[in-house]
Amino acid sequence: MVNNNVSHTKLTRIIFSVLITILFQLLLSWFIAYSLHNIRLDHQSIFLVDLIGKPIFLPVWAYYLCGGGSTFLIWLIARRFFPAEWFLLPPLVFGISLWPAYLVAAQANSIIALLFSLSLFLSFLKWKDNQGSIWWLVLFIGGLYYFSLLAAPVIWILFLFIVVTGYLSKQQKRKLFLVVLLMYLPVVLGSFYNPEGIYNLTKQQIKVFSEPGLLNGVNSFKGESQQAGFGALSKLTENKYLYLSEYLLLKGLKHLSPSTYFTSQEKLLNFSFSPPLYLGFIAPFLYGLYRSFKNHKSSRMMILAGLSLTLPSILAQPLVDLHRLILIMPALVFIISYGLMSLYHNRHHMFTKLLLWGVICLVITQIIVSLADISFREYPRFRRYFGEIHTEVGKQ
Amino acid sequence: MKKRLTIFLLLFLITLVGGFLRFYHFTTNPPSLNNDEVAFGYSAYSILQTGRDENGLFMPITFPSVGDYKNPIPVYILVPFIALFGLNEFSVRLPTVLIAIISIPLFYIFFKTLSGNVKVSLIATLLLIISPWHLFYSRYVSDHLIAMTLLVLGITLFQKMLKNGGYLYALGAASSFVISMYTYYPERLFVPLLGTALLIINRKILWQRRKEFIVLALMACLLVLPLAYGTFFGPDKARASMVFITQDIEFTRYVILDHLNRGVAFSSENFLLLFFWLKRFLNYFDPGFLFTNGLNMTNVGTIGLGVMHLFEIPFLIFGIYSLLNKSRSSQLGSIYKNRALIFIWIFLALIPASLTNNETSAGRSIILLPMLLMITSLGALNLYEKVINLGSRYIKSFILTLYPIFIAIFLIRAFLIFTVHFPLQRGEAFMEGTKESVLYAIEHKDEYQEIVYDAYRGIEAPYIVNIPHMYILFYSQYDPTKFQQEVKDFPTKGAHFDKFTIRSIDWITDRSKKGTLFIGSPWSLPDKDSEHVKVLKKIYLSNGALALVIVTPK
Repeated sequence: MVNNNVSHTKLTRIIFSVLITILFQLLLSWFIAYSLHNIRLDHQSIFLVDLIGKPIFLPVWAYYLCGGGSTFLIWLIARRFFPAEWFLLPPLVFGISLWPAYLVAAQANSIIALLFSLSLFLSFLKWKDNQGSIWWLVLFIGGLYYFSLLAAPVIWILFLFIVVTGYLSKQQKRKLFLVVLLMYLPVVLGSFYNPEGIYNLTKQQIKVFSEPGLLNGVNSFKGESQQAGFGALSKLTENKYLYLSEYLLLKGLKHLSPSTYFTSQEKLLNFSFSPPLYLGFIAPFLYGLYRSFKNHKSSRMMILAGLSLTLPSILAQPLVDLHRLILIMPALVFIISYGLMSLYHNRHHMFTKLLLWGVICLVITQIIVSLADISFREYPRFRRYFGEIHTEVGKQ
Repeated sequence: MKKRLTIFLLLFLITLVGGFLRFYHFTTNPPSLNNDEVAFGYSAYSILQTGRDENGLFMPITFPSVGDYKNPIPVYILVPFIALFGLNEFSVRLPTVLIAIISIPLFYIFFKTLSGNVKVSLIATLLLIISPWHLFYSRYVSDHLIAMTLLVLGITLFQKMLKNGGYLYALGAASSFVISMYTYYPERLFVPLLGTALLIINRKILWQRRKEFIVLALMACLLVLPLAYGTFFGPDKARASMVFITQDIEFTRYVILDHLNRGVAFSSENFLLLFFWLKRFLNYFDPGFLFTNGLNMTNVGTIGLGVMHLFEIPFLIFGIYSLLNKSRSSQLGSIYKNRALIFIWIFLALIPASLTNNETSAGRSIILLPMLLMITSLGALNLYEKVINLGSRYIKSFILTLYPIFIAIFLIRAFLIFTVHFPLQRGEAFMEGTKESVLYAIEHKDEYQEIVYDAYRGIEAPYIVNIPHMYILFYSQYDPTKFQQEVKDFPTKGAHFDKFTIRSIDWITDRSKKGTLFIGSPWSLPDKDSEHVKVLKKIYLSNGALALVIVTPK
């Protein structure tokens, strides 16, 4: 953690810059929504809403608020990890990225989950330093739990990591465990009260094993091998458990693949050509990752723990679910910012200097190209993918 | 001496096993000769008989073939084999199989030259013989594999030249590099790029060996001249534009929306093309391509074989980590010194592959294989040493027992895919059934006034372009001199030679043409129109799907 003593004038200037970044992000979201003629995601279930059986619709401004709020929280977190002159970089990288802007524009509920998880992380940091109350943790863990059932395993994994790494004192660990457990109790009680409901909701959220093509493929493999007289070998190597584990592994690896985040290989809203993160950021990302692994044991552990944030997406039906995966975006943003900072510090090397300029040029070019493309081609593209009549993504 | 003998014996054994895997049933698996193989074979037959290709060109440097402008080396190396064994599956596939087998010890020398480490080289060679990537392209005519082998030979000779000097090495390296460019298109871009990189990396040693380098450069320039002319001013340009990324269906249809011309300069197609190309470049690092489906040996949507085995993942990760870890530099020796070459090679190898109109292409990117093997073998060795040095005996025994089982399971799976699933699921991609239909037509030629063959086929839809005329020429061993004089306008406009006509069939009008034999897919020929049609033969794929129907009007 970095000790930052910033003068008031400087802080005012920084806050002003953060507000501009937030404004830019909100404008970006509005611009996308406007260019896409206000298409929105098919209604996504909120865990709690499904449990009580009453539909809750959030107003459009709530999504914009969550997007802007996330940028602000990223700035607050950055203040704890980055030196004073680099505070603004993470919210800037986040604010200019198209990933959250698309989700806000399409009113995806995952943007609310992102706000909750960032709030949780910040309140955890504050509580750990004895600066904040544990009730904030209670609030945000609860919020996340009831927002998405899949947040539960993530929080447990993160909790285990915290315990293993010895990041907290014994007393703090005990308190945290109680909070995590306490907030999970209603879900456990709910499973007694309405087991079928909980089962159905779980099934709805964990669809990784309901890929019909995969099981059909395994069966056809088995049939062909048996016909060819390799029944025994097939039993050993072509069973569904092995294929499902392989599929899970493939999904996991896909979440570690750069093309998932830096290109339009996995399409935003299932049709867009805009990448979740600008391709130019790939170099600082890799550099930041390399430096983090090389230099800091604690950041190595944080990165490994952060991988658990991919879990909700891994458990989804598509190979990669960019909505659920948004939870990992802050981690990527911090690594990219760290990489950019390190590149800048090493700018006296010719290669790093060139790389830094290359990154800046590529990102600026891609921002302009993407905005132009969104404006002129995204809506016709949407129509080409989904036909003429639909106005909601996900119903097709 | 004893150590050398052991290494020799081990290498001999590895080559023997690798040879067996490549040689076993290579004429029937892949299940049929594909379009390219038949075209290569008949062009070579034509050269052997007349000195000209089937289009009448004398000893061409580029073969127009069926409009796809094929490279010369894959054709010319078939000539002696066809002279010896005749025009058949065996003689056409044998050269590739032999080159693949010879490449096994060659790869060992290459790895040894680059790494200076016997263990790493042996592991890499072992991984090579079971590599699905190498194995797949070893069993049928594969210009990709031949070019890659030549490249490996070139680099080995180049490294030897740097180390020991000698004009023979220089001449050999230059010839291998340039001949690889005459063998496969991506090498025409890759070799100059790699050459420049080699020049920069080794500039100091090259200055010391400047005489040899001048010989190498002169030789390369001399050999490359006809190719350069063909590439920049000749017909090869047409080939390049045919397969260039701008022709990609995803790009044209979903990115630029069929040239939807709107907007400002920054929304121009060229900018989108740049980002689309970068996306394609990164696609080659996709785990699906690398580990589960890169070779397309099974149906879409299933988990088949990637270009690497799944059990190689930890080796690959550990290998990359070892190469990046400075603290291991003294242990790694030559490999660490050559790491720049390894990473530059990987980067450059993907440039030509990603510039073409495929999402990913295992064939076009096979140049990656040598360096990936180098990294995985390094990772495997380092990982093994780590495990051996583990404190806990139980964990050590657990890993050393479990991992070989894991490897065995994936090798058995690969065996089943190669022997059982691939021939059943991908027969159509290798034009299974065309040979049978053509043999029927040749056998019954005299009974009909005309034989009409539809060029399009496909189980799901008639979207696969067949080149039946080439199969007819190949399997009837049609006199090339006669064909050179009569053939015209292949394949899109349809054509006629001897009694054979290649064109689309329109059954409503064609059913009145008595005395004509029609061959086509069920999409163009109704097998149930009993009033007008006499079905003579139905040809099925190995998986039981009806591929082709042979009929004549009643």
